[in-house]
Parts: sequence; structure tokens; C-alpha cells
Amino acid sequence: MSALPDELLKKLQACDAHIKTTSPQQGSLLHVRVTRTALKQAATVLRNAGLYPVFMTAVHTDPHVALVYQFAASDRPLRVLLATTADKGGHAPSLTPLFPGMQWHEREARDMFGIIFEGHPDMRPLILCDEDRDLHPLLKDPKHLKTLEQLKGADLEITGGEAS
Amino acid sequence: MTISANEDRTFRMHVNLGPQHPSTHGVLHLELEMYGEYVLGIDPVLGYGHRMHEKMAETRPWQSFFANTPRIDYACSLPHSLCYASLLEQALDIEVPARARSLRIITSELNRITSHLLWVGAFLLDLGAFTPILYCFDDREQAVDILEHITGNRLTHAYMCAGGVMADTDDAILRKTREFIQRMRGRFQIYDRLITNNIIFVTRTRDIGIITPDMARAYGATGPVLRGSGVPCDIRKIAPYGGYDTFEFDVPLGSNGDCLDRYSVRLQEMRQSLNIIEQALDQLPGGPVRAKVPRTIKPAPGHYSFSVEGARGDVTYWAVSDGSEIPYRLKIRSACMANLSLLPELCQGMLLADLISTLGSLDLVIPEIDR
Repeated sequence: MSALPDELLKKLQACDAHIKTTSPQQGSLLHVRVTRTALKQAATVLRNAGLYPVFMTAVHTDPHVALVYQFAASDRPLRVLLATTADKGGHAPSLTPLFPGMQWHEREARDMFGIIFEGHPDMRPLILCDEDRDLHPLLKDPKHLKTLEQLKGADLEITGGEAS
Repeated sequence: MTISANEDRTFRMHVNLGPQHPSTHGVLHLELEMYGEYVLGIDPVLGYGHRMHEKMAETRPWQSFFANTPRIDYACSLPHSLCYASLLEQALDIEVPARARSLRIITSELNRITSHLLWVGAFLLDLGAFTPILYCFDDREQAVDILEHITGNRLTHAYMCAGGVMADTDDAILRKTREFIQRMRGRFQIYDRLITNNIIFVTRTRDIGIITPDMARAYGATGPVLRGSGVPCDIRKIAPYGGYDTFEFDVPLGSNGDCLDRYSVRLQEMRQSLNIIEQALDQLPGGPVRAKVPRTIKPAPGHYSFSVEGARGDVTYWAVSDGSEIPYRLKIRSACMANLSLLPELCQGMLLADLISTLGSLDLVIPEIDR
């Protein structure tokens, strides 16, 4: 099997995604940037391709919190980094209905960044205790907060109609 | 059979398993909804061992995080450090000397063996067998002694560093490693006689806690949990790193996905690790063990990802750099968290005793889940 099936690429492009392929030391890393509305569609493509969820996390940038999902294939050296943003109020669609394994990662992201995942069955704190549910320790202090421009190499900016 | 409301109240129980229960290995807390001996639902409560490693990473220079990596998964710490070191080397485009690569693999595989031995002993302890852990610790002690000589620590090995390893080793300890390989190969017969062929152990584990490949994938379960279900997914094979592609080894697989398969996968993995160590010793090159690395590490702005196969599965570090000497964001993906997250679905309707053997078979290290 080739490292990067064209079919997968085509299906991802149909999600209106910005795709960048890099080949670091460990096979292919597909960097896919999608808008919030296309997130579920792109994740469905990855699920149907048999990829497993590796992690989900966020990066606090100015003005958005960027959301990052990593998926990996279990039979070939292929990893996909799916990036999108939460809206100004910190809302994003949940991928738990597609990957039950996302449930805890999204709960952790709620603890650490205060992201509210719509469609998530259980948004109780996971790692933090109930008293600290609004602490969000991984949000940056204003003096350490960087803009997307300053993090340019990380390719986290999402362009598109409702990106903000 | 009909159950009256009164009887229903008697049978229905809310039980806290942990955070102090011996079978939860540390501070895992499971809230169980029981009906007599049957488990209706599980709600794992995490966070007792939470130390906010990811925030610590954002407050100190890139190199200083090497003090944290072994403490995330203390039972198999070297793959975590290797993952972080490889991430930095990938970011800075540093070539690791051949001798350092081999030493990294030797120590990582020894660490995998110590971790699996600890698991075998603790798993059998969960099932009520006290004797095996004494044999396991006897063997584990030999490997830990070797690791102590090579790395300087018995548990949280501060050995990997950006560009190679902290210190070279000597021939005496490499001879001792060969003796350990010989000794360990003979010991598997003891384990087979004591555990694998024991009818009580087999009854407690066969057809218990069956994880299908689809379920494992949906939850992102990796490592022996996924391979026990027959999926040949080992990052050392599918995306080789650090020179693993130069060694010959098999990826042991289960077929049924039950607790017994996960046990036999880990036992066979130890044999494969011994093969890898032996090959690495046979072709151990000379030369330096550390490449020249800038005093302050400042990766170019961007994001970096690196994955290794830890004893429990896919360990991935993902970092965002803003070009300064401090990471902007570091995500640590632990295998245990994904492996544990399938437990609530897996254990519905199970007997409590089967839950204990399923929980044990996942090989959980709680600080790795909580981070």
C-alpha cells in the first residue's frame, strides 16, 4: 500500500481543506486545515480510512484557540494533523460521535482551555477537580500570548467564511 | 425471574473501586454501578496524579524538560525521553551518532522488559497469585541493575539528551547484559510452567474482556492492547525511528483480543526485545555518544511531531515552537489514557472479578494518564 493514497487526498480536498504534505523522519505527515463546519466531514473521511485517533489538543493563540487533532494509520507510516479553530465563545463541534476515543481528549481540552464541544455527551471535568473547572491552566497570560503571525510556521490559521 | 423493588434496592450498589485499592496500581478511582456481582456502569475518575507537565514545559527551556519526561511514565521512562529527544533532533536537524543510537535502543528495550516484568507480576497479584511477582522482581532486578549502571538511575532514567545519550558505557556492563539475555531466555520456561499453563490463570483470563480491532481503533488504543486483538501495529515496524529498521524482530499478535492474548503478547514481546538487544550488542559501533548541540535550543517557528512505541503503545509528543528558547506548547500523548478510555464500554455487564482482570490486562500507569 502506498504511504499516501490519492483517494484519501481527494476526499479531504472535497472538504475544502488546505492540505500540506510533509515527510519528516517518520513517513508522511499530512497537515490538513479545515473550517469548523467541515471538521466533521474531514474526520469522517479519516475514520472511514481506518485511522485511529492519537490525540486532540488546543493551542491558545491570538485571536482564536486553535484545535488540533492527530490521527494515525495502523498499517502504514501515515499521520494526519487536522487543524481548525474554536469560535470566539470557545465553541467547537465534538468528534466524540465519530470516535468514542475523542471523548476524554475533548474533556481534557475543556479543562485546560475551556473549549465547549457541542454534541459531546459528558462535559464534566476529567483531569481537574470540580472546584478548578474554570481554571483553564493552559490558556496563556496576555504577556505570553502569541498571534498566529508570530507562530507562522505552525500553519494554524484557518481562512474561510466563518473562521472567526 | 422477576425482581421486586425491594430486592432491586438490595442488589443495586454504588461502589468506589480505588483510589486506594491495590488492583488500581496507584491512584485510579473507578466509580462502579453494580447489580450484585455484575457491573452496570463504570465512571473512571482521573486526576489524582495530575502534575501539569504540559504547563511546566511552557515555563522552562526546551532542554530542561528532560527532567520531566521520565516521570510521566515511570515504569517505562526511556521511550518517553527518547521521543522528546528525537523531537528536538528532528526540529534542529541533528544527526545522532551511531553508538548513541544503539545505546538508546539497548536501554529502551531493557526498559520495555522491566516494564513488562513488573506488569506480569502485578497482573498476577491482581488475580490473587502472589508467587509470580517474586520471580518477576528477581528478573527485573537484574535488568534494573544493568540500567542503573548504564544510565545512573534505577527508575527515572535521565539518560537521553538532545543529540545522543548522557554518558558512554563500558564493556563489563555490556557483558553483564549478555549474561542477562541468556538467563532471561531460560526463565520463560519457568513463567510458562508457573503462569501460562496454570488452569486458574487461564480460566480467569481466556475470553474475558474481549476487545475487537474496530473497538480498539475507535478508542485509539495502541500497544499490546491493540496487538492482542490481532492488529499488527507497532511504530517500531510501521514508522521506524532511531535505527529500529536495522534490527530483525517480529511483532507478536494475539487473535482473540482477550486478557490472555494481551498477556501472551507481552510475554513474547520480551523475547523479541532480547533479540533486539542481542543484535544491538553484536553490532555496537564505537565513536562518540553525543552530537554537538547548540547550548540554547531554539527550534524554528513551526510544529513538530514525533512518535515512538512505548511499553504501553503509541507515545507521541507534539510541540509548537515560536522560535524562542521556551516551548510555546507541548502536547504529551500517553498510550494509557486511550487504553483506559475503552474500559467503560468494555466492562458493561461484566462480573466484578472479570473487571479486575480486564483492568489489570490494560497495563495502566496512572501518572501517565493524569500527566
